[in-house]
Amino acid sequence: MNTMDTVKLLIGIDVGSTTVKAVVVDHLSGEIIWQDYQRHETKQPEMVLSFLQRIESDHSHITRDEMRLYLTGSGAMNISALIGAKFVQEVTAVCLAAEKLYPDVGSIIDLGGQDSKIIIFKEIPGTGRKKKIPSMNDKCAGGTGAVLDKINAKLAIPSDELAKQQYDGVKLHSVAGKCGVFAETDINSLQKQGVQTKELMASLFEAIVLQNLTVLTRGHTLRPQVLLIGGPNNHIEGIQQAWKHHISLLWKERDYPLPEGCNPKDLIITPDNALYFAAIGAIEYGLDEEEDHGEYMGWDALNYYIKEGRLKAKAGADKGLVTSEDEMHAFYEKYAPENFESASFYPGQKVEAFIGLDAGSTSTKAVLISPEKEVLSKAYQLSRGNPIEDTKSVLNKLHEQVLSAGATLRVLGLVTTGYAKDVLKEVLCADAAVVETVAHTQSALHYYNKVDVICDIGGQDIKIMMLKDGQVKDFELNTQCSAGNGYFLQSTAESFGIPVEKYAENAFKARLSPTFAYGCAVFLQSDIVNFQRMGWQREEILSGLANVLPKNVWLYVAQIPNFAKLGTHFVLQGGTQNNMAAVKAQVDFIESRFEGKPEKPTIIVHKHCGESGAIGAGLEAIRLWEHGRKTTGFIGMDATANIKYNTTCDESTRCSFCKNKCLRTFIDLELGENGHQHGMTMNQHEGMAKTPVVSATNGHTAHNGNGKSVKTRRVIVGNFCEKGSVEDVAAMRGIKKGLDDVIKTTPNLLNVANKELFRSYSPVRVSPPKQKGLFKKQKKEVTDRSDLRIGIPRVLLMYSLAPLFTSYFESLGVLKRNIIFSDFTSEQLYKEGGKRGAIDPCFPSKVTLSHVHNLLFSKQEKKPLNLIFFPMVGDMCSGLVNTVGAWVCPSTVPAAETVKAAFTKEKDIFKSMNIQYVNPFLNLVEKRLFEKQMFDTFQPVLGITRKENMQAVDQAYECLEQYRSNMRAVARETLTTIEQENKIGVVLLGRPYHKDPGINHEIFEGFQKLGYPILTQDVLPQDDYTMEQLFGAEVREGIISHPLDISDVWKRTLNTNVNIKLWAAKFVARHPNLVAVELSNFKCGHDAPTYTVIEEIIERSGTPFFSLKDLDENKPKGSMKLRIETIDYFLKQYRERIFDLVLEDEVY
Amino acid sequence: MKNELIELVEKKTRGKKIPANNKSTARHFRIHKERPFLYEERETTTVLVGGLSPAHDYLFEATMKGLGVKTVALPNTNLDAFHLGREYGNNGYCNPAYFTVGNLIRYLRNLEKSGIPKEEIIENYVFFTIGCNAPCRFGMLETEYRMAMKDCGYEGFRILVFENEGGLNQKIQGKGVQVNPEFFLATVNALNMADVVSELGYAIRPFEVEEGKTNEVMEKALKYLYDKLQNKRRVVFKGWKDIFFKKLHLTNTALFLVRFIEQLKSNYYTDALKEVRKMFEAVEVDRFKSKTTVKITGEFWAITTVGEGNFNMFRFLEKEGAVLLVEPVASLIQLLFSKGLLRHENRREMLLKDRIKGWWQVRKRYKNYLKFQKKRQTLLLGNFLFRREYSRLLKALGGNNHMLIKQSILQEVANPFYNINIEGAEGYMEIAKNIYYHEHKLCHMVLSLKPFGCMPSTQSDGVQAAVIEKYKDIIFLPLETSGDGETNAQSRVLMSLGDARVKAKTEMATAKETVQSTMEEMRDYVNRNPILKSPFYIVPKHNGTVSQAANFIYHVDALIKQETAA
Repeated sequence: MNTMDTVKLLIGIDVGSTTVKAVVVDHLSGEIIWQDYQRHETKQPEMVLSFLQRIESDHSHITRDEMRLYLTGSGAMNISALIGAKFVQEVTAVCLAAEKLYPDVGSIIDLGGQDSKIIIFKEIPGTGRKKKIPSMNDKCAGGTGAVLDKINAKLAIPSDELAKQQYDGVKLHSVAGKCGVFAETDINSLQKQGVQTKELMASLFEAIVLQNLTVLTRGHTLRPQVLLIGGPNNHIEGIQQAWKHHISLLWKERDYPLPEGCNPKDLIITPDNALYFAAIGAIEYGLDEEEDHGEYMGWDALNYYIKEGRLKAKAGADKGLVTSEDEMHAFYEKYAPENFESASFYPGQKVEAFIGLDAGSTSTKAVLISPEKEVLSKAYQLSRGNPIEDTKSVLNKLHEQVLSAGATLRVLGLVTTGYAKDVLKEVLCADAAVVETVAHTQSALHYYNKVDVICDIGGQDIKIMMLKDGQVKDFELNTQCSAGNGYFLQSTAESFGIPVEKYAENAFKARLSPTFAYGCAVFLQSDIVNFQRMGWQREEILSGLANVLPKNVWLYVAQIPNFAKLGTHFVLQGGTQNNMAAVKAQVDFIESRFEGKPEKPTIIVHKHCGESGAIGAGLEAIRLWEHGRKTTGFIGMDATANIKYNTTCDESTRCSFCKNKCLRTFIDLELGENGHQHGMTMNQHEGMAKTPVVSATNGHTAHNGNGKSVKTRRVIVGNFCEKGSVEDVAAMRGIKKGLDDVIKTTPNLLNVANKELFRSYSPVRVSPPKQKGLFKKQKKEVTDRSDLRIGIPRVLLMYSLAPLFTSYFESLGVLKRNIIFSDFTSEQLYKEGGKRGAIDPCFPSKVTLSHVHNLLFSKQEKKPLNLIFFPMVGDMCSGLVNTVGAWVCPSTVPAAETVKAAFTKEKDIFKSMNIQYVNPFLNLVEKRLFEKQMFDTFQPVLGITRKENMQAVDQAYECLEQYRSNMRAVARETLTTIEQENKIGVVLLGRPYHKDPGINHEIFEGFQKLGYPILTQDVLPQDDYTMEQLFGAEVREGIISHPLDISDVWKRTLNTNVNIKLWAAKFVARHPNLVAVELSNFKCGHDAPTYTVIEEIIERSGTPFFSLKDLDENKPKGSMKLRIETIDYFLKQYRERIFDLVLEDEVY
Repeated sequence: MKNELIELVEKKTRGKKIPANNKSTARHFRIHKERPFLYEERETTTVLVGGLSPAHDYLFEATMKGLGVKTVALPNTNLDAFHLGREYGNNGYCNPAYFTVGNLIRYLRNLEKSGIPKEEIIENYVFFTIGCNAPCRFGMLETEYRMAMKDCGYEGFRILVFENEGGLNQKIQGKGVQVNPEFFLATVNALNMADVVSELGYAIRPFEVEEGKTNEVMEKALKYLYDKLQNKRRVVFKGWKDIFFKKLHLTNTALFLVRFIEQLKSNYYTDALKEVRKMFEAVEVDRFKSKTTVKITGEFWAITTVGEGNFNMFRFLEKEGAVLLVEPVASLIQLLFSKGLLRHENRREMLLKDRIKGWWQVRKRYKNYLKFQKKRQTLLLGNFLFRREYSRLLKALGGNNHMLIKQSILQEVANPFYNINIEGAEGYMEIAKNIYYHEHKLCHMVLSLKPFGCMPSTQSDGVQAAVIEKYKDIIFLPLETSGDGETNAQSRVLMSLGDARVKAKTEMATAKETVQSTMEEMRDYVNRNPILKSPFYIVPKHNGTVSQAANFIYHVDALIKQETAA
């Protein structure tokens, strides 16, 4: 081994995801004597080899023994071992370089290809050192350069133009930064609306910067100087401007001390040599290392790896989709959908048929179905970005098939489905718009007797519908992540120059395939690149990619690893199932999940897999016909072909009728001379159906292409709620009145509770202590209570305990008007306070920070608060019997401490605002202990006596009980009405905070508008009659000891809210008029263990059960709407079924 | 009022019946009634245990065997087990549950593959695991375990849950495993021994001269301890003693006393550890190796498991030049004592005033006082004796390991940041240990491992943000472990480890600059004094220096000076 004394060259190489950068430093002088960077075009080892050879040849007078080699970067770890280099972690290297070259560095923002990193430096007093607080993205590509690359590839901006893209002064639109694929969806949609490229890019910069600032700073404030490094930060002006804008804003918001007279933006810099930071830092690291590191062994082993080694690694890889041609043929024999042949029409034939139209996100499909439910013909159109144009095209194709045979077509009915179903229903005056999940289910059930699971994989969407007794009991959609959809297979094949139709043919050629790690589609893209680099052929990659698809569908998106619970009959449908490679992978995967189990799966590929949705819609049209609707509103084929329209989507179309401020699109359909849509009859025009969400109004005028003024009918789309479906206030009021009428007659106990919880219960004012001369000080304190203003975050258990605390304070003399709750959760409230968060727990815990922020920066401004009270309730009674514990969730209890940490860590904000933060730990089960805890907490604050405190606690418990009694009475009344009117009531199975509209995302309002009364689990009636009706028999049989006993369904009755939920589930399971919708948040560790039990309790009794799990801060509007519509459809069926049974009972 | 309401409701709902085929009681869901594990089944039934580190599981197996229970420790869990757990568990289990359930399923399937019929497995095997009466979801998973067993084809397989806070009042079905004082003492001894021996391994391995030697000796030592635990003589009364105590109905009490006294007086366990110490003497260490000292804290399972359950973190850190201060299981046992005491103390006022109506009830007051003190003193004594026993084992092994930190100290340290009454997982311990190890200059960095989505531990990390702001020099890294993403996690650790390394190197450089002897002189001295190469040599701490190598340099330099002076 040579010692460092003999070393002449220090070589640092940074092997990044897109480029390789190298610097060579003279050991003696410390000068950089050689540097270069090259794009490696996915060939990292080759590029490193080339660098080494060049360095050796450029320094031929120096032997390998006299060189030391340090590698860093995402691709360095494996290569290091082959050449004897020391691997240096990238962040460490970057920090070392930054500290050396920029001693004043305070933060680094390194935006890499697949990694985003933020490093904050904090001085350690007295040591001269700086501590680094690093943070980087996890398994998701959100906020990385990969997102930028993906969008840039789509928009095809040349690299020199990309570098010049601006942020400052450019109009911004809403783009998701969380996921590259969703960003692409948003960009697609904006592009279709005609938004310019420069605005798209600026919006993307905004999204990426905000994503990183929210997620990666972990609540710390970036410190100046901020160095922007990494590819995008280096090269793109716009992203630099976005960082400067937002960081400056943050400093201002947080009152961060900056050098006087300095422009904050000047403290955010992009170093000239940032490209080589990691390579320089790696050498710095090496200089500080022990003697025996980084001894360069030459490039022979690397060369061997490139030529042979990595190919050998392939030998241990996965097998291909098939092992032989025979196996492939056998598979095709069994699973390939039979060829469809259109019906043959003859001249003069008068064809009478129904049309099902499925306007999906990537394609539009239409089918012509005979009244006998036979598919006569199909048509398909790949999306060209405009559903109306696509529809015109597919309907024209259908029509042509009839006309070309000399026949004529009479359309008996048309029903739409798919994401554009409502628009098309309006434009075409269709008979109905049926929700996608229902259309797919009906289609599958039409062809196959027994269906447990429908797996529908379309271009963008994945839907997995789980059925029980012919009704959808649950479904999973890819609302949060798009990994696993068909578009990805298609785009990959096309990037290899293979049309998607030839995908399977190519993939089946592979006998080996690389193993992709399932997960984020953006990273799969990178894996493809890596596998190509390792020598895998395109057929093998296609095979591997098909293989990973089911894993992404079932394990990553739907997260259903346990197939035993699903059933055994699977129907695969959706356009992607036309790709037999994808089908083979699905079949293999599903079969593998049943290995070792007695039951075996039956897997069927839908015979019209691509058109299953359209067929479902067509079947619905037939059903309507059969149920007496003997006319259709459909404008007809000719009118459809002649549809002329104009779309507008800009600030002028934005809705202002509610806080959502939806950006709507106005579609103005040109009307003919007679004031009707081209080709429409008077009847059709007048009979146009109106839906609450999408509406059309006549009488607008617009200018057509010739500059002539024409009459139009306006269809409004893009609005989330009903109010946005019209333009003028009077019409909106009309709609609102209609809604109000429904709401008035349909009780929603969530809203009632939200009023009851936060009102005053006028507790008895407890007797003040006797005033004697010596206690003047005390007297003053007592008097002062009426001026005391207490802020309480409206979070967590406040949704079941607020009356306890408000009554306590009121009984001590605090005025009700001086007890200030933070606002209900909203997107704005969350965003304003959320950036201080250091951790990522469940949303209800996370949002507490924003509520305290709301009290501090919104409520406080109006009138100063004296204290903020955020209790940590450790246990509370459930009212149930025979339980072993009364714990409260361990994530919500310490939330008050986390909030305290967030507002005091850099600067004590409470102190600076002269507010006392009071967050006692409280036990509610033992009243006397609670009394002590409250006394210990408030004696020093309010100057109370023990007696006062005791009386106030008594009052508090009484008022809490009064709230519960009131709510139970309302619930009983509601239930009686439901029973009387044979209605179906929806019970929210959730946690107290699910009453917060910002946390339940107003899902239950959706049900209420559809006429379903809403009840909540915590105040279900417990009167003797109800208890006897529902539980009496079981008590007598000895199954349970008491109606409030849950030991028959759950042994570990440790947690109050879990226990209440289980009891409520039992209640619903036993009540004929009730169904349950369970809400649960992402990362809810308390709900998770009960998912199966809750489901079993309810479904075992034949009661419909629906659940919305993994709720978080994102409000998935589309998915929620889809769910509500689906649930509504099946609840209607259930209601018919269940009350028919009751009637039959009565008859006999 | 109530009757009126019922009447009204009856009137309104008259004629409506709950449809018989829809909601009959017969169809309602009920939990599975567990079949007990009976004493008589001991001969034919194997108890499966697992969930701690391999060393702990191994010695616990020996102990159980010593108590007469046929026991097998499951092999160490791994990613395959995790995926099986994911397949049969619910979405939203925590990681420990996936790894544990999956490991059990994997083992049962292997038994089946070896030719044992499924029915026989269900009949002749039970799984004995730890549960908790705490707010954490882990306490609720028992039902889920059974469902997973059912879904993977082992319906009726018995899961016995031992409550970690249940003491002697365990509701374990049947008497197959007798939870009595003997069981407690034996278990505590086994776990304590596994703790101290494991910790010794982590302390020595990074400095060993001959690579692999520590592991080689560790294997032998554990085997030796296994035999000692398995073959320990059980105290039983025979002959006249048996008859005498039976007559007086005092057999259990007398047995408890004898066993308890034996525990306090006997050197059986300490002698065994002295033997182990001799074995480890064979490992030669080089304390000049500069290492970064990393304290491991976090969630109990994530820090006690070894292997893929925590991204192979311990092995990785050692490879990257770290010395690990792992968390002993004993620490959690101590936490249970202190939580019990804290809860009891919180209720002091209530208990003392229980049913006191006036000053005249002096006798009642006195009784309340005695009752309060009885429980308090029991807990204090239990804690004291537990620490005493742990300390005895440490001393027997050479006294080079860390003694358990008093919980009262930890509570004092944590309370300004995190209310010590908050329950769930390790509660205040993560905060406290971060501060304590920093303040006492015991480590360069704290790595807090926790399973993905661990509720209490995540919130505790939120508070750590304020801790590290106050204690500027703390290097603290919280890391969530999940089945996937090992490389990513290790990369994160490297980021912080790089920083910690700088600390260690600075200490080393300062030491080298400060001392008068050269490295060659010091190495020469050490070679001449082989005791300095012993793994049990205690190096004194120098002026707040954490680095063992730096401390060793100061120490050897001082010895050289002494030698020269002499």
